[in-house]
Amino acid sequence: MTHLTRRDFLKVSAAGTATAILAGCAQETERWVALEPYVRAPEEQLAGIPNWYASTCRMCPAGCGIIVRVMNGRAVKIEGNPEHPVNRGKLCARGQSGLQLLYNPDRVTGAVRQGERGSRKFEPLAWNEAINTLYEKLDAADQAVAIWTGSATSGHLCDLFARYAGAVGAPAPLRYDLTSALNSVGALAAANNALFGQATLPGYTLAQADVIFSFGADFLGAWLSATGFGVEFGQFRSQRFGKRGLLVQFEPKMSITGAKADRWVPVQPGAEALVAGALLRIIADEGFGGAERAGLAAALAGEVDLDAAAAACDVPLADLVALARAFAEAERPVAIPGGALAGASNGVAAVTAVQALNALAGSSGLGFTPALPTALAAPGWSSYAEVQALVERMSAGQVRLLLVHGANPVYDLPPGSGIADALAQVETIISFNPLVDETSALADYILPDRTYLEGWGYEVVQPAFRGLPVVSSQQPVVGPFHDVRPTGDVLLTAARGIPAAAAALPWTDEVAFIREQITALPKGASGGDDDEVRWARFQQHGGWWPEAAPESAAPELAAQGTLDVAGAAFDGEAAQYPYYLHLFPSVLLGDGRGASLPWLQGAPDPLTTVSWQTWVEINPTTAQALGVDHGDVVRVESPHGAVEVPVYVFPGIRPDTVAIPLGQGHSDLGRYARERGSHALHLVGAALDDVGANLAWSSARVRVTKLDKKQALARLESTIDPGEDIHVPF
Amino acid sequence: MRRVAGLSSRQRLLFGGAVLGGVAIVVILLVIVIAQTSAADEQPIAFNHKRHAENGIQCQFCHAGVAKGPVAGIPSVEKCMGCHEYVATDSPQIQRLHGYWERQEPIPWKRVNEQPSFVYFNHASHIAAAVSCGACHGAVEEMTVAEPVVNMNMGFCLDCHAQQENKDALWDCAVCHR
Repeated sequence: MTHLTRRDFLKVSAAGTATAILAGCAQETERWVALEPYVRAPEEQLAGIPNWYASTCRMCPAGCGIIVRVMNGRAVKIEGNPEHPVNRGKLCARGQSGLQLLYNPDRVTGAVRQGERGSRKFEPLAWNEAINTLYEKLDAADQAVAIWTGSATSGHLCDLFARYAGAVGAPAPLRYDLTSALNSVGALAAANNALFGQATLPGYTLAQADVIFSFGADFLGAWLSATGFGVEFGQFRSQRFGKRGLLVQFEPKMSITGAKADRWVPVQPGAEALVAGALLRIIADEGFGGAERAGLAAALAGEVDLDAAAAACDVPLADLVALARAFAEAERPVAIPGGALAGASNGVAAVTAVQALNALAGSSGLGFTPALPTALAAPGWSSYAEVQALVERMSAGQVRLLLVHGANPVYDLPPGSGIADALAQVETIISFNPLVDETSALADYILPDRTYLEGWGYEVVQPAFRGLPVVSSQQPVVGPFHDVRPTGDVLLTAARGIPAAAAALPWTDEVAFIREQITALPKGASGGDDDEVRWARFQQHGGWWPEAAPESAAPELAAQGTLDVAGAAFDGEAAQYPYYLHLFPSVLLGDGRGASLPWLQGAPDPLTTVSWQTWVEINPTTAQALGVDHGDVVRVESPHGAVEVPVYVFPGIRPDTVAIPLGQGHSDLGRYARERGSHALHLVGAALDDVGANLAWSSARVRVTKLDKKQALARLESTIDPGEDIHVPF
Repeated sequence: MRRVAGLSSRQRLLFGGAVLGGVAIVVILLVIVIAQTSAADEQPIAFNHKRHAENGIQCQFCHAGVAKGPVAGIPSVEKCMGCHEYVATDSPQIQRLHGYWERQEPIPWKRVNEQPSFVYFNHASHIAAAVSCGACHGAVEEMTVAEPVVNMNMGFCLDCHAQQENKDALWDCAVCHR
């Protein structure tokens, strides 16, 4: 070869570059998994062999048991605890994502002080200084201290806070967040109290049921204890001799439960109570299900004009009659109220009407949580009226110190509640939350608690299933990742300086308190004759529960007289605001706390496959009338506020209703949640329901205006493609 | 490759030669580069297996997981210090060990032997079948610097698996690739 052509030169140089790149890839860090041996090897750890620890999930308040795979001191996988009576080995997507709370890059890594509220400029604070600050503020505030807890607060911490408040004469801690509002725990407890004299949450025994009528309760998605209900539902669908049961779902927008139902009835929003009332009336009039059931129905049913009721709830009368017969003649029918109907202006009346259907079958399916043999009990949820009272006290400057743990009031309440202005009147706000959320951003101090995978606790489960009372155990599965302190220990240490509290909180640390509570329980299913063994078994098996459900009679019907049912009222004139607003918790993000975890953000919504976004679901006929298609941004406006969201055209929704998932629209809560989507709670007013206790969060009408904007939807698929001819069942 | 039209046979020959030459250069370069990067990486402490073996320390004393689980394990700094708090403390290498211990830092050892992630290998079952350490790792007790002297590829594994009594079971793909 006499000379090298330009072409060949290029070839050789390209090959040289490729070689260099390959060589670069072959560097040790790429080729080998880096070794990180221990400085001190823990005795129980053996290289390559995982340890599994039992604990309790805290991603929602259901109290599922988990087992965590720990490899060389790192938590690497969370699964359901097969022994646990609530979830029996199963775990939902939110539970699986708990690892990302532990490893979240936006965790507060130590105690901090914020000079100016909302500045988000945090100065590190030594823990002894932080605890001393808490002591000084508690001491100065005396009775003017308010404590706000939520779904992420462990039961033992609720109990410690309650003891502290009781000792210094402060009002009992508040336990309220968006989860409790969306789970409609207030309406459920009120209805159960009115009907059966038991203000607890029901763990419906679906496993033996043959007919389930669910009124808006997304019990397989995001409602109350979805994993527990999911296990029950699995048994409901696989009964002996191939019996599958009948599930009828009444709701204006299809939920994941509606998608699994045998029959989906798109009832008029707010008219679910009318359906329940009409069913009772029909059963009474037609004598369905025998004399006893018809007699009970007659005692409960009010005067109902059936034709008018059928028209108002938009279900043909013939269908109502057929459904009434199916329910009354079933061996073990169960009716479940929940979701949007409980958040309507007639929430408690609606829940009561649906629960009354259960009375027909002897209330066998209700599954109220039995009480524990000791004084240990599930902390009650606060009503929205109590929240309002606290907001008023804060606004009036009567609260000098606010402690927030496990709740995010600024995000959890509609702006009309006045929470932001009220917080401004509080002298000192201390947050214990692990991430800087909207409330922590307004706090003066953040004393971050350990996440649930690093901390101790217990949870008295409510609702429990199959009549088994459960105290679920929570133990650290890994050492703390940051310089964070358990709030229980911080509180106990600070309280030592306050004489009244010191006497009521004599424990050296929170573990001593938990141990005392647990060892007081009698021998449970995991046995153990002395305290030491029972305490070890409590942690090993993931909790305490008796071997068999304690004997308990089916709840007696305590209600007298007939039930009044009426349709719900909505904010906004129908002429100005033509659509009902249907808000629903995201199956993945829950009430919004899941938005900080990228696994949950990236997982597609089960019905629309949209991820990382907020969208508004609009029926195809409505979308056509509005001239909008997938990804067109619309302004959804209620009398209380407005949000701009892209459209998802969805056939599983009534044409007169638009639906928006909750969970996004955070201004804080870390990099994955911040400035993403919209918070549809801003469309809701702060009105109370029919008994003046709960927030009527599902009572707004809206108008929808097309904007000249598009936002591509991050979705895997669509139920309808543009131009596709589909069957719309309306 | 695009056909080079209108070239004489001599030009074609030259062109082909150039391409072949280019490929040869690439291959030679690759071999050199990979061989160099594959050479034993320098360890943070010049650990001498030979010296330890001469003093009668068994493999399992440090690689304690070998008979119990899938991974033999690298000893913790604490284990090294168990002897070296007193033994050979004036050696510069041991002083480096003391430095890690005082800083409570793990020693960033470079890996010497590794199977790819699609191979499941369990030390304990091999120890239970009386396979000696040296059968796979070579005479580590003679090495001043630990090196991967045996090419532990699939053929190497199967040569031995084929000689076992239950060779039919040990021949299954899923024994290692699972």
